[in-house]
Order: sequence, then structure tokens, then C-alpha cells
Amino acid sequence: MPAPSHEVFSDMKSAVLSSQEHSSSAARAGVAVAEWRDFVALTKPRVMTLVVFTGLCGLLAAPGAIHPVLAFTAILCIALGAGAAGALNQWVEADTDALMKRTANRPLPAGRMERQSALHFGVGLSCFSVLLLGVATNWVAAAILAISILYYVLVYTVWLKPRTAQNIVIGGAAGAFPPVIGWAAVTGDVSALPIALFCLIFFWTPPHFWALSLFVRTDYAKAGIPMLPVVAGEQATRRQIWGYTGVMAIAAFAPVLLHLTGMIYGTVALLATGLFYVYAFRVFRSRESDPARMKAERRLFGYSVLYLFIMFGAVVLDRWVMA
Amino acid sequence: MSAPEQSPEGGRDPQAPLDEKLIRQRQRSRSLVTGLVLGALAILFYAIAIAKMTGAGG
Repeated sequence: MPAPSHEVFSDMKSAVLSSQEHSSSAARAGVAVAEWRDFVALTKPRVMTLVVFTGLCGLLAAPGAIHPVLAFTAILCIALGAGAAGALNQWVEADTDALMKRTANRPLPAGRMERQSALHFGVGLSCFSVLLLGVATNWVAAAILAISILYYVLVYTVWLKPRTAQNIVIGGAAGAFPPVIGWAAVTGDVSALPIALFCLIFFWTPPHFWALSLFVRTDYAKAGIPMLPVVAGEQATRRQIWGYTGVMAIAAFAPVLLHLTGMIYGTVALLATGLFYVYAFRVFRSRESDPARMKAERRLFGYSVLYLFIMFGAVVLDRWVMA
Repeated sequence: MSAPEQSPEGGRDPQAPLDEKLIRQRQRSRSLVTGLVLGALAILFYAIAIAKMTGAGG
């Protein structure tokens, strides 16, 4: 019987040989060996910035104290959970992504990664982020994170997106969870302000996403995704954007009207939402059908991202000044 | 060392060593990043444990 050290050495040697054999067989079979950057791309890092910011604002606006390390862990878990949901979304949509110019270069449709790797990565990251959040903060926050991941993947991606033009109206709830999770990480419960912030993102999503879908309509049509401009036409989409901006404005003023925030937030909300209204009205009035010349739609889409940053920044500022 | 790649006709495939080199390079960089992530997680878990104990004590 060989000594343990020889056993370990023998195991290492066979592991190295097996790795070499694997790379040779991978090369022979033309199997995609993804780079680590492809796994990062799978998490949709650009979408994650807004998720992290709104989650952080929910955490900072919450009453009570949290240890900085635990606060960092909570935000990390929100980011990882969002990344996991993004990875699973790309796993489900690999075939339709290949049909759209905007998404054709993602790791799966571009053939840089095996589908199974994306599935394993997404499921693993989901479980890890939920468990870590539960252990580091509390299980209420972890449960909301789990619900948000499942909602995004199952309700939005699998069920609604390929079936109905109302996909992002209902599915938009998935993106509205981060401030609630951030709040719950500190307090262990959910009260009126995080629900108001949830509503703000929920009603912000349709005008934000439909502005985008107006100028990438041909991509969605090619992939057979029933986005509102594809199914109901451009003018109907513009009317819906205008209508939902009105509902979003009510959600934006709700924290002031319910005395959950003060005048700092109220003033910022008035100015920022007023400007949102101006951009939405320009889209409503627009009759442009050439996506390359849809300036009003592009402006509304760009401003809508900034709007959410401004509004959530104002919530935190207001709560800190009021405290 | 792995054996030189053979083409289906039995001759040496000129593309194979290049592919293999690329795959090995990717595997190495993935291993390195995995190692760094695991190291960062070890530090994070340690910090969480300390933070929890401090919180429980305070």
C-alpha cells in the first residue's frame, strides 16, 4: 500500500492528466470552454447596477442599524441573486437571443459557453445568494430574494414574456424587489415605505421598457417576442407609455402624501417626475416610425434610468436629514 | 503530455494544438479566478462571523 503522500501525488498526477485529456477531448469535440468573463457577462452586469443601487437605498433608508460587513454582504447577495436570475434568463432564452442583434453576442447564442454550464452557474448562484443572505442578515430578506429570483425566471421569462404583451407590466415586479430586500435585511420586516418604493419601480418599468422596445421593435418581432409595439403597434405603445407615466407619478408622490418622507424627497420628486412627464409627452406626440430616428424614445429611455437613481438617492437623503 | 491530434484521415490536424492551447489557457484563467473568489469568500465568512459575534456580544 503506498504512503498517503504518494497517494495524494498519484491523485494529483491523474487529475492533471485527466485535465489534459479533457482539454484534448474538448478541442476534438469542439466543445465550448467559456472564459471567466463569459460567466460575468451571463449575470448582466449593466442591469445589475440599478438593482444594486435601489437595494442599497432600501437598506440605507431603513430605520435601525446594521453592521457594515453585514450590510455589504446583503448588497452582495442582492447583486448575486440578480446575476443568478440573469444567468437563468439567458439559459431559457438562448435560442431567441440568437435571433436578436442586441443579444446575439451573449455567451450562449455566440457559442462560447455550454448551455448546461449556464444552468449550473445560475442555480448554484441563486442558492448561494439566498443562503448567504439568510445566514448573514435574516430569513425574511432571504425569502424575498428567493421569491424575486423565481418570479423573474418562472413568471416573467418562462411564462409571461413569450405569451403576452403585458409581460413587462406584471413581470416588472421582479425588478421592484431589491429595495424591499435591502430594507428587510436591516429591519427583518416590510413596512409602508419599501412597499411604496416597490410600487415606484413597478410602475416605472412599463414606460422605461416600452421606450426601449419601440426602437428595438424589429429585433423583438424577428425573435417572435410579443412586446407591445410588435403586437399593438407604435401608437398604442406611446399611449400606454403616457398612461403609465401618470400612474408612476402617483407612486412617486405616495411617500410624501403618506408622510413617509419629507420635503426634500417631495421637491426632487416634483422636478424629476415633471421632467419624466415632459419626455413621455414628447414620445406620446411622436409619429416617428424609423427606429434610427426615434430621438424622443431614446431620450425617455436614457432619462428613465437616471430618474430612478435620482428618486432613490432623494429617498436616502431625505431619511438621513429627517432622522 | 497528450498525443498529437489526428485528423479523421489519420494525418495530423494543424488546428488542434492551437485549440488545445486556447482551452488550457482558459481553464488556467478560470482556475485562477475561482481561487481568488474562494479566497475572498473565506475572508468574507470570517468577517461575517466576527460581525455576528460582535453584534451578539453588544
